Amino acid sequence: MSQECFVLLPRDGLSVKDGRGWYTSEVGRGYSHPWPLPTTVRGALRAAWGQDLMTTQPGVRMTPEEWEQRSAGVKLTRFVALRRSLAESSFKQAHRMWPFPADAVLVGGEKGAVGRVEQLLPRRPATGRAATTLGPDEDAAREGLWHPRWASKGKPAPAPRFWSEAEMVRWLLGHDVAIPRELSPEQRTDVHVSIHPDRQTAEDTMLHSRQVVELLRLEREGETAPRAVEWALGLCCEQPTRDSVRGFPSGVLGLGGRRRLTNVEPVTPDLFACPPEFQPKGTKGLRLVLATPASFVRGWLPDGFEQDGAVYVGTLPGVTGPVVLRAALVPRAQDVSAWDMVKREPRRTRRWVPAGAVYFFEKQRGEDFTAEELRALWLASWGGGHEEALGQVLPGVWTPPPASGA
Amino acid sequence: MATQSQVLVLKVGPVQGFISQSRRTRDLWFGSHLLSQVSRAMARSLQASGAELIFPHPEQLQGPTSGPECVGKEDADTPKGFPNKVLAVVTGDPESIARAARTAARDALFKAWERVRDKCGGLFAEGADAWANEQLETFLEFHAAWVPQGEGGYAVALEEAEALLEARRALREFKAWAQLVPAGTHKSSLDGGRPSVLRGKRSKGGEWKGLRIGEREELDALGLLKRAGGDPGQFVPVPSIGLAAWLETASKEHNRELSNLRGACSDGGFTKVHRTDLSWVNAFPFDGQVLFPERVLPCFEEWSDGGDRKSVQRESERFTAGAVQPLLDVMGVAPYPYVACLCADGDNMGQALRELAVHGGIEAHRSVSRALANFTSEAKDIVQSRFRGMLVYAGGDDVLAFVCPPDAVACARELASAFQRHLKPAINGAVKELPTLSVGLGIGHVLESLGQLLSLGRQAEKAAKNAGRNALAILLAKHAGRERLWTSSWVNPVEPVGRLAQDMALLSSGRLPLSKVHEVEAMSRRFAADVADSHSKEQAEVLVDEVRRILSRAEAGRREDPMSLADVGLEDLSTSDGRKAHAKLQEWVSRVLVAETLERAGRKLEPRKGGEG
Repeated sequence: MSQECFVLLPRDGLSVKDGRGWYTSEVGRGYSHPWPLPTTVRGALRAAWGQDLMTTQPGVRMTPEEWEQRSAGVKLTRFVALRRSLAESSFKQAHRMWPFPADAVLVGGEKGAVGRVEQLLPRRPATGRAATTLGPDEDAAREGLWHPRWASKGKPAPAPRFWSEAEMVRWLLGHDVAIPRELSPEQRTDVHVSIHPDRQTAEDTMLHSRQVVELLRLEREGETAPRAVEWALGLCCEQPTRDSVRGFPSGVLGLGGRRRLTNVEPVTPDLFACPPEFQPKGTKGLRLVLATPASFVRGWLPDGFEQDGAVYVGTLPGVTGPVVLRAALVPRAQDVSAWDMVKREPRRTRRWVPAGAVYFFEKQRGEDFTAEELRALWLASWGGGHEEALGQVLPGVWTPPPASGA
Repeated sequence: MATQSQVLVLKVGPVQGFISQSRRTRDLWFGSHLLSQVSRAMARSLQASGAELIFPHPEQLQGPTSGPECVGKEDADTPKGFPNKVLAVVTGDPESIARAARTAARDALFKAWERVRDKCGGLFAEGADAWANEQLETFLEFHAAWVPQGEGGYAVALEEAEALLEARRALREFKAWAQLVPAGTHKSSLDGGRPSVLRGKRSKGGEWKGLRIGEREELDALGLLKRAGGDPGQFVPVPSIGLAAWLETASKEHNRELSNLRGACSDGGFTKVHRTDLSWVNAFPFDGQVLFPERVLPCFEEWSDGGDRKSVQRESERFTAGAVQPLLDVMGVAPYPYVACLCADGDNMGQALRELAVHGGIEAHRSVSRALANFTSEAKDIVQSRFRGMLVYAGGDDVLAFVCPPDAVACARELASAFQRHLKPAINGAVKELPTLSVGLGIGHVLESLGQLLSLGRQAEKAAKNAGRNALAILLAKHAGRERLWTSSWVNPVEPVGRLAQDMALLSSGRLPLSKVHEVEAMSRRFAADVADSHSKEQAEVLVDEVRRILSRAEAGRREDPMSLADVGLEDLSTSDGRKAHAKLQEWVSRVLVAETLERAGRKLEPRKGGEG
């Protein structure tokens, strides 16, 4: 098994069309996901791997079916967002960008200005059920989950899509974080026309547009001069053991809609390691923030967790003993529709827990989560879809509220 | 069983994402209507359980509640909007009351679906009932929270219940799809996540044509429910709303040519809009798209019952030459293909309701609830009768509508006035700040997706809020050119309606050529927006002098009539520092370009002043 680590640098934006069709308006419009999906990236890697294999091994020619079968072993094992100044020549851990966690909320200041970051902390339900909630169906364990209380009045300010490495590490360690800057790639709209071959003019009825995620942008902090930054995708990839290709991937890669060209820059596996600054102490409670979307068999409920009376109990990778799920902060499902390039037909839709969702746990027997357990959870895989780097988690400390009378 | 009274809050969703997944006007309208019906069912269930309803006001529940009359034409004429949050005080067992409301919400959804299922059976893919049911079963997000009224009374219990409800909603539980759909099943074109329930082989015409399902369009159960839930004739197509002023003028001044076009549309078998209550719709009760010659062929292709492409093309050319072009020729001004999506929302309502709960309790809230119900009733009249628009939703302090650009600003002003007029007596000085209405107008092309138009309206509404609330914001997204945003408080010395009217007069008179506006913009862009303090004064002076020079210069072929800063509404530019002068110039350019679009949309057309029936 060989592992390649590299960074993809899209040069002309990316169009990663979501499941909606072109026929959402009288003039066609293609909508893009705000950030590329692991599925799209793995698909592009499988295609590149097949091309590299046929190029480097004389005589090898694969039919679409053979390609599908042999490229199934191309696995994505790491998938992180990166952002650096154009003046820098290499990627470091400090360039990592993480999904904004669902347990952080931006509290509005005066006249719509952002004031501060507040942490959503699940509270132990009051005894006696003086105040109660009800969900969309009957599930005692789900109703037994703890819920966070937002101390501030009014509506929260919109959160940025990403948070920097330094901010995320502070957050996971339970420290306060200052107001994050608006750090998200922007979207632009490309308009396309068809030219009539005889008239050499645009055909009115063929006008269509597509959203494109722009990964090169100018950013300005306060009074400073603007600087150019680039966003990129950091990946680790495994190749099929039997058919390993040396120097994979070679050359530029086609990625997303219209196979836009993407530069490839090699990196070392250190880029994905647990940062030295993340030195937690043992903790009673554990938070898991999803760094990539997760695929669970039952939707939002993590795999391996079963109802045990009024709680869900299960196990976590690298953690000793059973744990109790205390709270879950999960946004709406991320629906993923993909296209089968071999059969030329749509694949089944999958529903993922979006990146940024946060789950809270306590050990069933009341022990602490150790520092080693926490560090071992750094980008551990949880749930299904490991070949697409799904369900990679970031561990954080959490202090559960004391039981009443404790 | 608890005997103590409890404050119960219910919320149902999803709202914004669901409504915005729309291709046709009927999708948008029925999606909104469906959520209102679900919300109404919950409120009625609470009422039946003996609950004391606060929001919505009990009077809003009068009228038909279920059965075909709710989705028929009659109900479309009275689009009572119900907010997706219901608030009540209950004395029985709150848990069973909440469960009953949840069942009522689900039943309302399934009743609507059963009607569509019966009507559209021929469109379904084999076995699609199974995954359609799963889609419906998993669609509604329902949450409830209740808190006993203890010593703190209603205000404390309400605050606690609302906080609990919002905390509960931090988990949006969902299940993975359990139904295995056949390999190759397409996803809904509008949703992208749910599999289509439509069969692959389609005939031209029949139900497919009646529901305007495109050849390659796919709909999931919720999409089909929106498309087929109402009577197709009750929905006014968005292009017709955008061209309402043009069509009404055509009807008054060139009725012969317009009648000719109406006759040709009837002969062509185009779907007719049946809205006898709205005179401006009856001027041309068909899809206004046909007024754009380049859209005639696609319309004919959509409506033709088979036939080869060449004969369809010949037919469309004959239609254009014989029916469309004569009207365009006599009108002398081309229809302007833009429409305004109006999104309005009350300001400071949460704070006002919190203060009222403390000082006036349930009675004060009920009084506000009644005022909001009256406002939403008047909103329908304002949008549809006094101005040439269509209301999609009006519930609580929210309004969503489409209006033709020449009427949009005045309509927004009238809604803002009506909101305060209704709320003022209900609040009666009991709160620090009287709630106001912020209105966003997103102006986009009539052929743009409804989701996109809605997004423009919502962005504009947000901009109005960010501009300090009690404001108007106009976001202009033209096919060519970048977006332009202009915001103004309703209480500026020159309020937005008057301000834009002055600009439009200046532009239409030819005194202010558009080239000068672009020249000012290009000039100001060459200067730094964040000028250093040491150069601020000098930059302001240069900017002022440059604008004066551009405005006063006589251009070849124009009469010499130099304009001053005051003439174009820039009288306070010279008192600013460099940064302010720069920002003011950018704001002025956006304002004049917005005014230019409004002027162009209404050129040679009869304006509505409001108050007309």
